[in-house]
Amino acid sequence: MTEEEILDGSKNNNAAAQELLYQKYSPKMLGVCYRFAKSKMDAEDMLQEGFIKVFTQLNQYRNSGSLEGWIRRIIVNTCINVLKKNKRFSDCLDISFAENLHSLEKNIPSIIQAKQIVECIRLLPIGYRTVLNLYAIEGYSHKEIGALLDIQESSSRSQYFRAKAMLEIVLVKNGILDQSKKELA
Amino acid sequence: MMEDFSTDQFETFLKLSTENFKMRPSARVWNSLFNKMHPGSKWPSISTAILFFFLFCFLSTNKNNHSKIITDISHQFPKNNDKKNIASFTNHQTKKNNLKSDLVNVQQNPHFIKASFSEDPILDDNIESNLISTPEICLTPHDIKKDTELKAFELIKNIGQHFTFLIHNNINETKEINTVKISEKRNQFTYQIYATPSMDYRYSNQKNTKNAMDSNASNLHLNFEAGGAILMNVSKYIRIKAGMQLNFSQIKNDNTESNNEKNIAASLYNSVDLMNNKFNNTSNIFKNSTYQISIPIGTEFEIMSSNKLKWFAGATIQPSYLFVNNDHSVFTELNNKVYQQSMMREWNVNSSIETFINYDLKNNIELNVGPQIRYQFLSTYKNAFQQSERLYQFGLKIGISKKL
Repeated sequence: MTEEEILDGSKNNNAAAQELLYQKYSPKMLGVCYRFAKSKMDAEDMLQEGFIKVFTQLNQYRNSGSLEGWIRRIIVNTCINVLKKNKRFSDCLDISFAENLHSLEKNIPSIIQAKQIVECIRLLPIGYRTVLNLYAIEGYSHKEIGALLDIQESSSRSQYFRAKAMLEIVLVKNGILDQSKKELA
Repeated sequence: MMEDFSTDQFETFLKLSTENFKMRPSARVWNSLFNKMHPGSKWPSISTAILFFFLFCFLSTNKNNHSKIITDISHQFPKNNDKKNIASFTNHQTKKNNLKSDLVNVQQNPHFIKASFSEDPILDDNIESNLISTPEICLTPHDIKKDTELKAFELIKNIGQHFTFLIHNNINETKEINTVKISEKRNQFTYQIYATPSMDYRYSNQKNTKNAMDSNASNLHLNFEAGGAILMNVSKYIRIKAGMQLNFSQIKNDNTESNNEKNIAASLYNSVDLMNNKFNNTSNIFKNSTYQISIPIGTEFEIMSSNKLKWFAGATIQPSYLFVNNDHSVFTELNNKVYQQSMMREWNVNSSIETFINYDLKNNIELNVGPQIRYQFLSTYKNAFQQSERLYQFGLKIGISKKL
């Protein structure tokens, strides 16, 4: 099946086409969900919910941009919605985590395997991680993040600043980021 | 790794680093997604069972139309077992348009005349009748002259239980007769107790892969089922039933462990202490058993019957609860897994299909014997566990039923 046939089949609720579409994009999208989620199982739940939206809203896709980008946008929004339903996440956004930097530094485990960057990101508190994921990786502006997470734009900026600082510590600790480079920066 | 890192490139670095990060989702995600997107495809076997049930109902209703409107007044006349067929008529259409049906069989003796039609007759719209079909009618002997043969009869009036027929004989005489509908009396409830020794077939596979190498079918093991049920006749050919049963199943595992298996087993399930005793030996045979209580709800359909024998087919859905589990198997791969009670699914749904012969002993007691297949819809293990197992049980059901 060509990409076009898969897309048309999926729009027509063809199970085989939907499975092909899912198989093509689900690994990457699970990687996206994993950066937001607490565990792989949570990430899979987000992925499942996201793909239900993808399949039900696929008729709205007008081939104007890349399909992957369109799916990714839906998946990210689903992740945010799932996180927002979680009360702990809302609390995290309201709390300043600056004091946690030192305690985190002491407890950082060594990650020496693949997916190390992602695992480093996942070590951040969930509020920081969400803002960092949205801004640095997904390309949202602070204004968009503020609207998405129901916080001030300035809060998004400050959260991102702290998240970035914390992530640098984690990356250095794990040998991913060279200390001297960091100091120079 | 980050030779070219600078603060300005931080976002770019993160974006590039994570851009191609992929993870393989478990099969559970797609299965749930598929079931939500295509609810019609969920549990195809349930759909089949429901279809089976409605097919039975449909067949029963069709047959039942005949049985309900039997007009039988033969009990008013002396019994005569010498019911001799004296005339047969095929493709005979009644002349009047009140009742149009093929008269295919007539029994006539000194005490009664009995006629059968081949199919449901079609009534005129203007006839006042609640009689949909008249497959069998018994008439008084004086309704027809001696030494004549019944040629045809027509329903000309029906009010409630009273029917008026016009009968024709072979010498072209006609006579108007009146008769009443007598409904058959049947025992409505039956109590049944049964026991079913069976052999099981367990099919296991890993949830996160479709690789055939990762699936496994186990050896056959002995199981046992015992229970009781109340059956209620809803028509002449169909009865519904509900009851309670106990299922005992056992599995015998012969495992040879290695250190690697031990590690995997321990990491799979945090029961190292439990496992240590078993890992000390290089080869172990574990006898594991489970007890399950079920509430079978279903239907039975009478396919054929003779004087003493009846042939039935039936299907049940069985919500089940696992209440005792002595399963402490040690495995690391598909044949070698780590199981413990907390990993077992307590609530499950089973279904069974069966066919059996009823032999009428006496005093309304019947012996039931026949094969049964039982299928477990959900995996034996909880969703969180990567292992999925389907259970099939093939048994011989032996029961006693008594009409209440």
